[in-house]
Amino acid sequence: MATVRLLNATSSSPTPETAAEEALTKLGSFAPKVVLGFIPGPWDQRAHHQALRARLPKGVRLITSSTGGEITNQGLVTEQLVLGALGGDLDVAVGYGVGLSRDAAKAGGVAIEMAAQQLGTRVANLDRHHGAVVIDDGFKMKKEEMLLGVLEKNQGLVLVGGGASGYEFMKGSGIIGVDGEVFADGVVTMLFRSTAPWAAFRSHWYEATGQRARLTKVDVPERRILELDGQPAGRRWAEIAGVPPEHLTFANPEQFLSWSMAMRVGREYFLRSIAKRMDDDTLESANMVQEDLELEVMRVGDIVSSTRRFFTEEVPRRVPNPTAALLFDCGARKLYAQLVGKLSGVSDAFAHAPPAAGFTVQFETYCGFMVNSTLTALVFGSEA
Amino acid sequence: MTKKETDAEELARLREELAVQRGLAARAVASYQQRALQMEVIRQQNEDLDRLASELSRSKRAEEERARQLEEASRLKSEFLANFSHEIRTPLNGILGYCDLLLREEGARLTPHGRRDLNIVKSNAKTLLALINDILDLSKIEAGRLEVVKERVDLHTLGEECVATVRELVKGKDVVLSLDMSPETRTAFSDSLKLKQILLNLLSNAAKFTDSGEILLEARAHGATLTIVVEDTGAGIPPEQLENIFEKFRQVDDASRRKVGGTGLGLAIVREVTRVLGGTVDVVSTLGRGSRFTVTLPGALDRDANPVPAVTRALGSPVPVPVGQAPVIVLIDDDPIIVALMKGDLEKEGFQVIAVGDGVSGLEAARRHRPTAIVLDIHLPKLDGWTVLAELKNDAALANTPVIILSVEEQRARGFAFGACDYLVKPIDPERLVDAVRRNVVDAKGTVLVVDDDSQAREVVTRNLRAAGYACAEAHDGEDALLQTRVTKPGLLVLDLMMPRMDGFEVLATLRSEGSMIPVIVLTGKTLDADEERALLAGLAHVVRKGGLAIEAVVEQARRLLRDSGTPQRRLQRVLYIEDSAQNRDIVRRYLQGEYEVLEAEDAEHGLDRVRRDAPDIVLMDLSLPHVDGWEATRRIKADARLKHIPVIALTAFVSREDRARAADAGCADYLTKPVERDTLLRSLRKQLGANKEQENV
Repeated sequence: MATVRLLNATSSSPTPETAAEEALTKLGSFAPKVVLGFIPGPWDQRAHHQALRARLPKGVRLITSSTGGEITNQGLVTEQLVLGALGGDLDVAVGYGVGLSRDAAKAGGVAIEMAAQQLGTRVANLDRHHGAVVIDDGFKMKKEEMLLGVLEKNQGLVLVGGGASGYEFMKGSGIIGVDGEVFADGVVTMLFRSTAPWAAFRSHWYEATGQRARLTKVDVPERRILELDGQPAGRRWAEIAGVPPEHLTFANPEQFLSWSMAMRVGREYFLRSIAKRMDDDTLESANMVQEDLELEVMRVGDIVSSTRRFFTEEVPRRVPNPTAALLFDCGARKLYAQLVGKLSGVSDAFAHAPPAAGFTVQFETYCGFMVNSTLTALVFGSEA
Repeated sequence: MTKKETDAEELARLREELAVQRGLAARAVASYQQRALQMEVIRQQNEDLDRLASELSRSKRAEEERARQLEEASRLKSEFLANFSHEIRTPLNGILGYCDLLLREEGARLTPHGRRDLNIVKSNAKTLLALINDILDLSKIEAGRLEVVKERVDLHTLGEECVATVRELVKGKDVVLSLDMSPETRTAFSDSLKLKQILLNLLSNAAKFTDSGEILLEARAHGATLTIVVEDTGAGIPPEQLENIFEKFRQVDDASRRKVGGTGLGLAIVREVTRVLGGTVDVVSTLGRGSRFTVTLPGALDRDANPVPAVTRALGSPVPVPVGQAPVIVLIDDDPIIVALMKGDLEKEGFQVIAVGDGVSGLEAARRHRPTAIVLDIHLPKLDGWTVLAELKNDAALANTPVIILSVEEQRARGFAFGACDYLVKPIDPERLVDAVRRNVVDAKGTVLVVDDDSQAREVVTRNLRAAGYACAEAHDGEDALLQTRVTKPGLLVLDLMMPRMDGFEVLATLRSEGSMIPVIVLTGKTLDADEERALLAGLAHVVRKGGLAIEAVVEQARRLLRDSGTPQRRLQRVLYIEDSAQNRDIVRRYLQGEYEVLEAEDAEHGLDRVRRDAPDIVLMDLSLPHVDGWEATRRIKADARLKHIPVIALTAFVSREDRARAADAGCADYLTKPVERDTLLRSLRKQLGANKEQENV
């Protein structure tokens, strides 16, 4: 019976050699096909990557990413090297592209082509047994364009991931490492093929209010909402949120994060957060905007119980006997949990996850979408 | 225009173009997002379908598991019921048996009081038995295990038997029991036991609730539909309770009725058994004036319809009993009470009974004594009755011996399917067994095969022959007659001449050309011309003309012909045994006695002479022979174009693989090693002769 296993290992040593040695030792005799290393943002990404690479057998692929915090089944942690070693019934190929800020679509296309070639197939031929983890330099805010390249030849490919991040909110570069190469402004795709059961997930803690708002005037290139429901966007958004406009700012993140907008797709809500209220009373969107788009107004729910339910109900419902999880948790979720004093509750909810490794990301990827304020995940299981 | 102005204009144009391009790019991304949206909707739909599929798969697995558990529970229940049936009926059998023995052997010495008590014990045991039977029947019905045997039923006799049984229940009451069955209903095609169960339940019910007046059993034909009515002038059923009357454990809720007792299962069984037979039962009743139960069985009178259920009753094919000798019955039963009772009764009727207590001894006794009939229990030590039955039917010498099963378990369908000619359920009145044995044993040779395309004519002849004590089989055309004659080897043919496809002349000619000397009575209404008369004469047929006293003449002829046919009617196949040891020849001769004509030769030269001269059907060859050995003798037979078709079986004490291979190379068709068992030898002979016949046919 096909199955994929994940072993996680951590080290809190900032010294690359020590951290790599300690964490890899914890993997024991497990023979992974790929190791994903999540390295705290402030640490020396290149040195840690090289230390890991030097210690791994040649055939084992290595991907590293800078983080805004790390995740294991112990919860949300910081200042720890977290390794997620995947092995079992899966084939893995890794491709990468650079120059996101210049031509994100090209970088994405190059990354997926490279990976597909390693698997001996063409992107167009990737089927339901294939999926990909995508980690990009999240600070470049180029996910949608990058995804355009990744999915150009195969719209049906299931993607999941998040942006490489840093410990400082919305600052710096996301650093990615692939088998000895370490770079910013790039994207890595880990393409896999497995007959074991698996699924990509997304989960957030917002609930639809039933209210809708229409983007009546936008500035597409600037991702700016000029008017909402025919009114100046900032004022209208404050009206919907029931707060004075000046409260809708990251200076007041608790208030700001309590509301969001989402695009309804089928039965799901894909969050399209407001990134910033501008001085000219317009709103900057985290996502691309489109005139005449109608969005659902969302209100926060209970982040702790929704996270727990995700692991205890939704994951087992879609993947039998979950055995491995790669997690990409939005920085905004962590920020909100911190602000409302629920960080430890959210952190504890990860104990309900299958064996897991992940990190706090700079915006998330789910299939063809850039989403935000969301926990995305790739989960493998077993039929047995 | 200055260069600066030109540059500014160019810059403005480029800016404008860039804006357009950015707008286009944004729209492209937006368009891609739209496609992604559509993909996401499809993905969700696929996910829903996947979930639905896995839920269905899970439900199916759960359902299969539940079905498996139910099946297991049902199996356990069946097992329990079978054990229960056996364990309860066995002691009941003892109680009833000892009551009979006591009444028979010590009856004269018992006081009237003692006899009355003993009869009460017997009566209570019978009541208990009836109750157990009811419960078991319902269980079988609920489990869908009630099998139907489609057979010819003499409904009038059955009705008379049932009325006679119920007459006991109305003794002392002012009740007249009447029977009114129209002539068209004499023969039904249904399950006789189940019909009897229906009639007895309805009549008993009527008897219970009728203190004065009349109980009428009526049978009418409406085309092929049989309608049976049981009407009484009893207490009747309150209208509000009519709809529940066929429910299990329901009795009419009336204080005055409780005195009659009963389980409330009788009518439920009637309904279910009627349903199993493909019919319906209805009731009309007037409180205080009586009830009328009507059982309707569509198709039960359709003699041309193919029986729907697969199981039909085997035809009795009695083994010849030389006139003047007591027919031998092998009684295989481990129950000493049964043996004591049945042996006494059968011997009283002139049968010679050989009783054995286990299956292995039963088979041995059957093979040794070649009985006229075998009475067989199912639960037997060493070898169960089913296996014994199968062995008997596989043994050519015993396959036609009638086997009557006598068991505590009711598995008639299985019994008939396995070739039993009758199936009786213990406890049983000894008289019933004697009747069954008598029915299946005739004091002359063989079954009479009645060949006629007219089913009514066939029936008239067979009924008369059966009444005269002969077992009969029927063939509906000439081809069927030839087939049955070849397979079952009847003792006599009653043959119609005018039949479609193959007429009686052709049947007779074919039989004689095949060497069959079976006696034939031609029963015909045809005016025969000289050629036809000559043909019948040449075929040694006895002619009886239809009309007048034709049937009596047929019976008389049959009696004479079957009595006269004391010698085998067909040539036995010849086995030449070439063997230098007189002792070995003697053993094989005895083994094959009656089955084959055995020719013998002491050495190969003599043997080869006999092969050429006597044309045996098969040769048994010893390999270690003086002068010319068996391998060489076989090679010479196989080298002769006129003889090579004769199969040779090596029968030798040599056991090595090389000797076996040499024999095969020489042309031996089989290789038997000494000492050989009779069954092994017979099996090999049958196999080789069968294969040889097939080859010849090809």
